[in-house]
Amino acid sequence: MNRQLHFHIHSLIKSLVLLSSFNLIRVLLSAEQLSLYIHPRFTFFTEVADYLLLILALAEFSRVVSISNVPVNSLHQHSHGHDLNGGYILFVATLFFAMVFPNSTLDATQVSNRGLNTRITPNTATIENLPRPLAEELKTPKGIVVTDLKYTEIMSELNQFPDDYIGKEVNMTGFVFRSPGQSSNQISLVRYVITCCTADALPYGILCETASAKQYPDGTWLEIQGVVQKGKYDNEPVGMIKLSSIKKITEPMHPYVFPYETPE
Amino acid sequence: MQTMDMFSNILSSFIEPTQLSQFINFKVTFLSIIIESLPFLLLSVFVSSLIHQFINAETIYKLLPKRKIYGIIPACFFGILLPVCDCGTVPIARSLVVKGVPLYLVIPFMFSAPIINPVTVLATHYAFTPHVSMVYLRLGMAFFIACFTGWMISLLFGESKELNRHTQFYAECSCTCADNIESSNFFLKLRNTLYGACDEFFSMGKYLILGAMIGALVQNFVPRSSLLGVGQNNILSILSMMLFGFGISVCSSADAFIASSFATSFTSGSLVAFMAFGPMIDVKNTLMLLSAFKFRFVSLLIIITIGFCITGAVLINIVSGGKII
Repeated sequence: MNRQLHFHIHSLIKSLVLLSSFNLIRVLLSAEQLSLYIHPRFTFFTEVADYLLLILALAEFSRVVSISNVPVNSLHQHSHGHDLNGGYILFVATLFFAMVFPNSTLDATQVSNRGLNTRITPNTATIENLPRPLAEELKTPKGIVVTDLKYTEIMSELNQFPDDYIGKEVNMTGFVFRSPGQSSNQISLVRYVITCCTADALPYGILCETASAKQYPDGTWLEIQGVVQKGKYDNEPVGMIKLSSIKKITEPMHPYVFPYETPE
Repeated sequence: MQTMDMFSNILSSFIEPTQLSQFINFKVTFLSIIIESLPFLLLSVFVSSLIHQFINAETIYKLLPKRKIYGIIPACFFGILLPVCDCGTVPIARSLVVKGVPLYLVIPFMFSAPIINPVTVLATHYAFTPHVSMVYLRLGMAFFIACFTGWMISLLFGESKELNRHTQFYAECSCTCADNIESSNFFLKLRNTLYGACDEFFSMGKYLILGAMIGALVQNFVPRSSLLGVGQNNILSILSMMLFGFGISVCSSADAFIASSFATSFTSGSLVAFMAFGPMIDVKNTLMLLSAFKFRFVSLLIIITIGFCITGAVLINIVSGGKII
């Protein structure tokens, strides 16, 4: 019986696909760009998954060449090869897609697609409005600085209980978005809130009023200062910010807001 | 990174800026679904491969209740032990069926696992904070659908495995195809576990990619406001929210927030239907199910699930008057 050397092209392709996937996630991790896709609480899982990919790549690579005494069962090889043929192209295309096109942020066009909080849910409780953990803290005479960490809670407070905050000074960052029906001196300042991954991004924002609204097209990132007022939108009383200072900024390094992120 | 910039510069000279930005939005959502599901998929292909290699059929038979139909309710709770997302349950379900666990126990487990786990419960609680009833309604609905679907499957399919031809072959070939000798050696089993996980990663992964692609298309091109017109209609709101849940394919621990963004404009039954049906049946896992089971079984399963889901949701609407209580 003579020994035969078998070369398995499928195993080679599979191991290359796995290795490239491992590399793609490594690059995203080291460039700190993973948060453009998923909530940071999943970063650890993704890192573990990445090493599993490497282990699988190595395991698969060990199958590329095999030595056997008998010719390998052809039925065996055949059926598995067939199953996977169509599949590779999807993996390769996805990797190509991921590597070649820039890692970017969802843009302002998605706001109307997904529905802004102030428009779709004017009165509903979303994230932790009861028992209103921030109510006491925000009532102190200091102005309100909207941080990433408390973004959703502060937006809910301002949108749902504006009466409690009239006259308060607010500092915040976000991008410009105009809902249909807003008057020419109104814009919304918006951030995307992400619970698991970018696919579930929900736009959260607040109505702002300024005479110079026209200067800022949708999607412009602004750092603003203003005072809380009561206004009307769609015949509903809403909270809004009367702007006193506006500064154009470039898109921040971490454009999304991640609720329930534990402070480090 | 420089090549990326160069490429997008070249690209933008061919495509209009609005189209380019649509394209980038699509890429971000598509890739985010895949990256987020990846750990769950890997976990489940490893668990599935470990079951295949290390647990023999007799052990499983011993663990199952004598009158097997009584196992349906415990099967619904089994998911607490294995908190995986819905993209992770299909490979595990497939190995359990291959090992001889009847479908009417595997499907209830597969349906309830993504909803019953603590992460999803907590997220639902956050999303609907003043209305804790939504958490109970979601869990209740999940149990109702999972149990009754299990029962229907036991009536319609009995002990039949309903595996498709490819999986049937996989089931009969106890050797993970790497070598022809069934081995009792621990390290060989471990090696075969890796090989098996790898094969399964590719056979399931392509359906995940396809599902994520469709989900990202729906996310980018179907404006949610187009749903709002049917919001208060008893039946239409339920149907459209179920279709929406089927299409967008988001994680079961995030969908409650999307549901809550519809809270003022949709009936409570339709929101619960969205949060129960989506994790059980969506684009991704339908494709995965088709890769493992017979077409006839998968279509019947989907029809049965739709039926129970609508029934439950209509009942909720009647009792609550469509309002969130």
